[in-house]
Amino acid sequence: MAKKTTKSTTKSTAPLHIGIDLGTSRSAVVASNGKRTWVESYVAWPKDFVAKKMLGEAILFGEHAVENRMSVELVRPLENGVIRDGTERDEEAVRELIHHLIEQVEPKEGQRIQAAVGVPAEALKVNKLAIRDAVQEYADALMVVSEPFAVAYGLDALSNAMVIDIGAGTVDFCVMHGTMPTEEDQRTLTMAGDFVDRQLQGLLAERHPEAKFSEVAVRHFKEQHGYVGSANGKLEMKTAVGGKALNVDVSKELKEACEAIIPAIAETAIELIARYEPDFQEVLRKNIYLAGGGSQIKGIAEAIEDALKEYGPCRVHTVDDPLFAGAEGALALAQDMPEEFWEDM
Amino acid sequence: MADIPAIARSLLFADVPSVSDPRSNKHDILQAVYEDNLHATTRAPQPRRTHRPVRQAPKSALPSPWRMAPVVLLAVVGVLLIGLITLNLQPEPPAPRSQASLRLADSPRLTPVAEPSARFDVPDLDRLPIAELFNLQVNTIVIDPGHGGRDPGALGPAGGQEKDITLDVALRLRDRLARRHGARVLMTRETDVEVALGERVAFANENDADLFVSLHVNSIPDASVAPLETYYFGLRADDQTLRLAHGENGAANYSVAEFNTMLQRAGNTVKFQESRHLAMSVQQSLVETVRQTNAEASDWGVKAGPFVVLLGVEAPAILAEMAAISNPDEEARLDTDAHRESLARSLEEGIAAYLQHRPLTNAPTLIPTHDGEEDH
Ligand SMILES: Nc1ncnc2c1ncn2[C@@H]1O[C@H](COP(=O)(O)OP(=O)(O)O)[C@@H](O)[C@H]1O
Ligand SMILES: [Zn+2]
Repeated sequence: MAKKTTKSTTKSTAPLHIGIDLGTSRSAVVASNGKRTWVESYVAWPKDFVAKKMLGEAILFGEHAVENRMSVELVRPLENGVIRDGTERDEEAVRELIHHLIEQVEPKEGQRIQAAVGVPAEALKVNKLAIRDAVQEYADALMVVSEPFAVAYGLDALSNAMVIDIGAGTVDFCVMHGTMPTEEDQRTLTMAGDFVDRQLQGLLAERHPEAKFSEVAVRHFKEQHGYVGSANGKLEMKTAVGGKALNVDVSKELKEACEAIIPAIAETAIELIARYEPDFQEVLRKNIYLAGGGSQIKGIAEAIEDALKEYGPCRVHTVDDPLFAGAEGALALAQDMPEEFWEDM
Repeated sequence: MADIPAIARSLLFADVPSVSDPRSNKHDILQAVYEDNLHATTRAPQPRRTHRPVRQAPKSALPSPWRMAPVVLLAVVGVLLIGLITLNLQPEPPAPRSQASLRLADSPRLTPVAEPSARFDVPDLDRLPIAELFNLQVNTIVIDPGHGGRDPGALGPAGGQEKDITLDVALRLRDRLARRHGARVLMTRETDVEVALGERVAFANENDADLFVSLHVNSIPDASVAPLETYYFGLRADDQTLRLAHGENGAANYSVAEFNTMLQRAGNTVKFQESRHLAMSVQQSLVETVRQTNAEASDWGVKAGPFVVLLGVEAPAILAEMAAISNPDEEARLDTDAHRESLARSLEEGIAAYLQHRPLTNAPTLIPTHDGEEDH
C-alpha cells in the first residue's frame, strides 16, 4: 500500500518528496508536506510586448493559459504523448510546467527536493533524456517512470496486475509481475479520450447539421455524462440554431462515441495478456485496473469486463481517484526509495 | 494512491500463489527504477535553479529558423531513411510464450542510420517537395490498382467493376511514367488477382517506394453526381470518409495492435505534408481533365481519411477516387479507352506537377513533358 503522507511536521532539513503525473491533458502534483494540486497541461507565452503587459505575466499555465488563447502562444507540450522531435519550445514548456508544479507544493527555502515523475509510456521511451533534463533543473534528485507503472506502484499492485491508463491522447497498458516493467510489458494505444471527443463531435455534426457543438462543449459534456452500456433516459445538450436556443438529446451519440474505444482496448489487453504463461494470464485477467480520466466513463469497467469474458473469467476495477492516482503513486515511490539511491541521483 | 477497496485487495492476492515475498519484490523494483534512471543520466547534475530563467522576449521561445533548420532536417532525413529501411510488416515468428492464435505487434525497432550528407540551405518546408529538399531522387513510384480477384470493388449499374478500371488505368499510367519520365514504376498487381492491403504496403516498402499512388473508383448513393476526390492518410475524417475508408480497408488483415504500431510510427508529419501536396496536385489535375468531358463533375477536394494502405506506406502516399461508377454516364465513359487514357494522363500530370513544384536548380528525375502525345 502506498504510504499516506502521514509524516507530521517535517524538519526543514528533511527532503521534500514530490510525486508528479505529467499528463497530456492534465498534470498533477502531490508532496510529502500534504500539498496536492493539478493543472491542465497548457503553457503559454504572451505573443508580444503588449500582450505581456496586458496579462502581467511572462508565462501562463493551465486554464489561465487557455482563456487567453488570443494573445498568447499556447503549447500543450506532450500533445501526442511525446515531445515532438526538435521542438525546443515543447521542451521549454515541459520545463516550465514542471517548475510551476513544484512551486505549487511550496518547498521551503533551501529544502532538498526529491521528485518522482510519471510520464506517458511513449514519452518515457522517446523523450526520457529531455524529460530528465527538464526536471533536473528544479529538483535535487529525480526518478522518471512510466505513468501506468506509477499508478500500479501506488495501488501496491506490484505483481499479478495490469493497469490500463485511459488518458486524453493515449491508453497505456502495463503488466506488473513483480519486477520493473519493461517495454515488453507495456502497450500504448493512440485511441483515447480525444478520440472519443472527435467521434462525438463528428456524430453530432452528422445528425444535427443545423446545430453547432464546440470541441470544448463536447468534451465537457462527455466528462459530465459519458457512459457506455444501457442508457438512462435522455441527455440533452444545449445548442443554438440560427440564434434560437435548442436542447438536443445526444444520449445515443454519446454512448456510441464512448463505446468506440472499447474494442481496441479489449483487444490490446488480450494481446498483451496472451504474452504470458497460461496460469499467469488467468491471474492477470482478474486484476485489471482502470486509471486515468477516461476510466470515469460510466460503465466502462463492466463493458471491458464483458468484452474480455469470452477469454475466461475476469475482473476490471476502477481506481478511486483517477486524477491523482499517478501522482500519488509517484510520491509513494519517491518516499519508499531508499535514501542511498536518492543520494546518487 | 488512495486506498483500493478491501475487496479489490483481497481479489488482488486471493487465489494467486505468491511467487516471492512481496517485500523483497518491492525493494527489487525500487532498485530497478533507480538503476534505470541512473542509466539515463548522462549529464553531470546541474545546480538546481530556484528562479525561473529570465526570458528576454517572448519570441525567444521560438527557435530561430537558422538554429532549427539542421535539427529539423536531420530529423526528417533520418525519419525518411529509417522509413525506407526498416518498415517491415511481415509477420514475425510468434514470441515463445504467446498464444499462436494471436500475433503480437512488434515493437518499433529503429535502426540507427548514418547521417546523410546532403547539402542544406535554409529551405521553406512549406513549399518544397521533399524529393527536392533533400536532393533525393524520386526513383520508384508504386502504383496500386485497388481491389482485384474475388474483390471487385465498387460496381456500376450496368455491371462495370472497379477492379477492372483501376487496373487498366494503372497500366496506362505506368507506361506513361516509365516511357515519358524514365521512372522506375512498380505495380502492386498487374493482373486480376486479389492482393491483401498488408501485402501492398509491404511491397511498396520493400521496394523502396518514393511515392505511392492508390487508384480507386467510388460508388455513392446519389447516382446523379460525379465526384472526384483524393485522399491522404489522416485520422480526422467525416463520417462519409469513414464509410469509404471502411470499404477500402475491407481486405486489411492487420490486428489492432499492428495498426496501432503503424500509427505510432506515423508521427512523420513531413510524410503527411508531402502526401497532402501530392494529393492536391493530383486532384487538381483530375478535376481539370474530367471536366473537359463532363462539365458536371464535382470537385470534392483533398481529404484526410484513415485508409490503412496509406498509413502503412512510408513514402508520401495518396488514394485517388478518380470517378464514381454509380453514375451511369460516368460508368459508360469509364468503359472507353479514351477516358481511361485521359485519366492516366491527368494522374501523370498531377504527379509530375507535384515533383516540379518549383523551378529547379538540380534537375529531378521527373520532368513533366507536354509533347503532345496523342491520347485519343
Ligand atoms: N469524468 C470523466 N468522464 C469521462 N472522461 C473524462 C472524465 N474526466 C476526464 N476525462 C477524459 O480523460 C482524459 C484525460 O485523462 P488524463 O488521465 O488526465 O489524461 P492524460 O494523462 O493524458 O493527461 C480526457 O480525454 C478527458 O476528457
Ligand atoms: Zn476502391
